[in-house]
Amino acid sequence: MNDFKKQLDQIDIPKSLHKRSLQGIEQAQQKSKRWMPKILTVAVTIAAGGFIALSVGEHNTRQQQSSGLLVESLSSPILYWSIAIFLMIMTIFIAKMAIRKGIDNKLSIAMGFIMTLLLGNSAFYLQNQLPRPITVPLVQDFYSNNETYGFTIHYITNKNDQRFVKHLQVDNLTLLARYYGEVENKGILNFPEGVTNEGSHQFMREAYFVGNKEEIQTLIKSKEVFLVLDDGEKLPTTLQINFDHSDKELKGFVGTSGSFAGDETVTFVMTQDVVFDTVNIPEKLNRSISFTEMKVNEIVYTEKDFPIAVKKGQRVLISFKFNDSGMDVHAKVGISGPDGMLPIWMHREASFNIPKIREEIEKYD
Amino acid sequence: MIDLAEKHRQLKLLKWLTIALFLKLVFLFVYPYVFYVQQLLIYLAFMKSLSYFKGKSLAKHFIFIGLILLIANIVSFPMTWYLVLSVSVDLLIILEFGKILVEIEKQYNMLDSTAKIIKQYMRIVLCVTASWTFLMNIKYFEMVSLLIIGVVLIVIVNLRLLFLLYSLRKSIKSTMRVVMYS
Repeated sequence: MNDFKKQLDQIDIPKSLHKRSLQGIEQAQQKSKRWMPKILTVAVTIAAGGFIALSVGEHNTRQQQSSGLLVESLSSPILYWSIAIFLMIMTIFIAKMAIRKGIDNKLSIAMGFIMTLLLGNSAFYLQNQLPRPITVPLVQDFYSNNETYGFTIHYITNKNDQRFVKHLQVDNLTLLARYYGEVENKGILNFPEGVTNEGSHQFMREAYFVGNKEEIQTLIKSKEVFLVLDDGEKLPTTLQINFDHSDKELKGFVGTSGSFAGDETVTFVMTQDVVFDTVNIPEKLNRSISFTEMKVNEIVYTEKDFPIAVKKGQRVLISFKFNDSGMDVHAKVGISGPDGMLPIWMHREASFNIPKIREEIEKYD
Repeated sequence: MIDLAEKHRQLKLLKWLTIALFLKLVFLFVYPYVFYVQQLLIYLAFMKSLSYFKGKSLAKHFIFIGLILLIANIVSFPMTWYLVLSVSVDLLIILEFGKILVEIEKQYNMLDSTAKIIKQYMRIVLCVTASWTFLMNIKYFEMVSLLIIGVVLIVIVNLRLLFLLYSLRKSIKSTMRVVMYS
């Protein structure tokens, strides 16, 4: 073996020839590879530019809320998808070219696949972004003999939206939102304060407000209530708050039980003989709460059987049911007769279902 | 035979590559600004390492692309995009270095374990990158678990590469001793 090497070394190759062959090899190597960084740079630039353009476009829609046409055209999913599909085709084209030019087949296919995934995911992500935060409608009755009144308004923001509600504004009254910790959302792994529910693309967050009687009264009177974000953007809010006006409340409350499905059953033991003839559900809650049944001595009555006479000492079970609707409810319903009303407080937070919440908001507009 | 200066150069190349890979072991993307500095240091170490290599390599271009990405990220760039793109560009850089390593290995007639390790490195990093493209469309818990799994996998393959570099350096040093005493 060594002999053979020596022999090889001894063979005289003219130096000029040797040089030229080296040059040739170098040139060949250069020619086969010089295109690649360029193409990659172009691909990355196109991708980056495309995404930045998209996100800037989205930003613009946020600022120009007045022109509804623009918002719709820019936030329409078709646009995102068409751009993404165009970029995907470009990626496949580039990967194909890379293979033809002789780069490792598997690597370029894998890279193209990853780019396609990235673009598809981005289009899906952009499609699911909200053009601006939305607030969940709130229906709330306050106990009228409290001194201060606290209430929570939920709002939904995009996950990358770092803004939060700073205060509530009505005419010339502002109520500051109260938080218990750091509200700002920084970095990729930080979970902001005040998040009550999480979707794939949005957070549902809560803002807690406290007001005294006068402030609540101005809130009740005013028609337009805004939640103001820390950058000054105003979000219109649907608030339906009221003090509970109870003329005659019957006593005998024993206990309450609710289920996750939205049933609420309250048990009373009557302290006097009463006749019930109506179901009291405020008009604004007609769609979201319905009376199911009333049980007296294990006999079930529905709304058709009214009026119903109940004697003193009898155990009465009254059930109401929540229909799935996009609003927060803290309200009083009940059944009543000439002698008074059996009050039932219903509490429910809206489920994280953006189309439902939107539908609810549109009903009040 | 390979002369001593060449060996020294190769040793330095391996040293700086080791430094770059060591920096890559620490994942700091939780803190945005520290992360930029770390990424910059990694690219500088790659460049320093590459400066000891005499032949032609595409790694220079990839490092350049990586730097552009870094700047784009500081200006305005979605985090998920940056993660996916930077990990794939880093992969391309390391694949180029892998070619250099294979060449060095050939010069010393060692067992060719490098090619195999680099291939596995490529496969695992590609899988992680593909899974990370979904980061923007999932909930927080899933996102964190995907990130942690990916980071652990990348750290493992990087550690393996580090051990390979260590053994390469060791064997080059041992041949140097032979040269010196002979």
